[in-house]
Amino acid sequence: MSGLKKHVLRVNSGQIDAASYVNDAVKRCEEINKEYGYFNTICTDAGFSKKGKLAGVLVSVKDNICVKGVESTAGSRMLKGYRPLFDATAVGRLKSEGAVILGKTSCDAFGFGSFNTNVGIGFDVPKNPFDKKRATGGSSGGGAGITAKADFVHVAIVESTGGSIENPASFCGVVGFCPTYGRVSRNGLISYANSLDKIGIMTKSVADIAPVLEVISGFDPRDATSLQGEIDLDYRGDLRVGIVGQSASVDPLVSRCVQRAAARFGADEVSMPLADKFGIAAYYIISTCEASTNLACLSGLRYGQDGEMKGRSFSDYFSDVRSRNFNEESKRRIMLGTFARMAGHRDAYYIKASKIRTLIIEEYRKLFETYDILISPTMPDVAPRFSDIEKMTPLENYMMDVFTVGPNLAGIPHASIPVGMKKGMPVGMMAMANHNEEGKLLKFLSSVENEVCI
Amino acid sequence: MKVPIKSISELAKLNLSEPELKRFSKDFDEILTAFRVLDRINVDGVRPSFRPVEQRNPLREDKVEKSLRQEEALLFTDHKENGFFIGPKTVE
Repeated sequence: MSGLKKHVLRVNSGQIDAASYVNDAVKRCEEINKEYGYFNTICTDAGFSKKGKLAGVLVSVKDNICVKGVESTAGSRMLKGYRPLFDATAVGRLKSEGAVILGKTSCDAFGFGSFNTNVGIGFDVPKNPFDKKRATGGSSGGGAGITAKADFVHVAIVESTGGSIENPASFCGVVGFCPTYGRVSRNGLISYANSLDKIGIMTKSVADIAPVLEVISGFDPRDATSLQGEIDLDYRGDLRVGIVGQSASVDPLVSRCVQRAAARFGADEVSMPLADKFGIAAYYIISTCEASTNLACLSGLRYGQDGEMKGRSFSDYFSDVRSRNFNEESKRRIMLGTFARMAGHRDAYYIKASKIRTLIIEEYRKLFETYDILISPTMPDVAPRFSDIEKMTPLENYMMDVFTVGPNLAGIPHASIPVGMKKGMPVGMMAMANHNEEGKLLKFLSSVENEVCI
Repeated sequence: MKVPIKSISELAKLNLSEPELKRFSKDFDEILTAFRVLDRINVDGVRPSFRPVEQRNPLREDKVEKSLRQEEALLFTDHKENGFFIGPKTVE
């Protein structure tokens, strides 16, 4: 039985004093936060419940997912002061099963980043739990960091658009699970890119994922892309595994850790030339196009930051509020998306990228006719030092997502799991399954956890 | 291709300083050069995917549902009057 389930049984039966447990966890989070900066907000008055499938389970929520009455900024100064009037569907479902919301975790503003260094103006950059001179990864860095450091029963609710769950999970040495697109409702998620955003889970152990996924997944009429049908997490058959060969440069020690795990499962080498060659460009064009329209609603009028309106024209006012409150990467991605949607460029960029996305989805579909699971490194290397990140260009930042953009474009379930260490820093392996085959993925992750020594 | 950074910023409703314009101009050159990789693939006859999973157009019954009350919708702004949002002047 998972540690999480045992904890719930103890809370249900009164063996654990839930009130003290929650208070102690909140205090611990405050201590950790002073040193590592994983939370934008900690809920000091977190309630507790003795009833439900997740009674007394402590949950941190990425700051781009709405929690009723708790400041939800998506990591940007633009939304400072915004306290949603409703819970995101996933959060509401967790609360209704007795989970306790601990707070809102740090992220790159609107999810725009690979290291959690693109935080909003005035926000703290979280530090890696293994080495404070290094990044947590992004964009769900706060969720990954607190999952690694928590010495209480804890689950992080996070979100991935192009790798924002897998990347920080890899860098912080935890399990990061991203379900099929549409499996978990996006209602209440502050959108980065609608066709790519997925809410998922981070935990310390694989067994703790299923009980949470069962609660947060399921059809939601408030999300037009929500999947119909029940989720089946129980797979008992054999698994055929393929390891994806890539042309990207991977650190030799990282590669060795993944190859060792692949050998344990008798993985065949397979190739994905389209995802490999065109994935980054297709992903960044589609995601920034969608982001540039999504962020148009942030205009300083109805919520979030605003300004002096008197005597100003429509354009002057909106441009002023947006220019003062968006950080540099937010501006860069809004501009990139605006450019790629402009008359004369739309077909060459957005439509072409969307067609390549079709070919990449097909590339995965064909491989899943033969294989149940595909694996690759999650990231090309371990978490970089802040001093190295400062020297990188935006394009070099984007190239770090070379392994994670493929499964995100295809909307397939995927996860990162620790498979080794390089000089004291964790190495993650990414595993992917076909649409709706979360059960196969969980079975494989469980085998990796049990059979691959770190 | 010379990227018209200034006009993109105007479309995107962003006022950029001179250093920002220079920086973004350089970044865009590098990024769009890398994106030219897309020119190497022929996608004639391929349908674009606007989402990763095939889904039918979800429709709901055409009836009024519960939504935010007017005072709730206005809770987070100072720009309001008589139950309405106040916006900047749109006609000069």
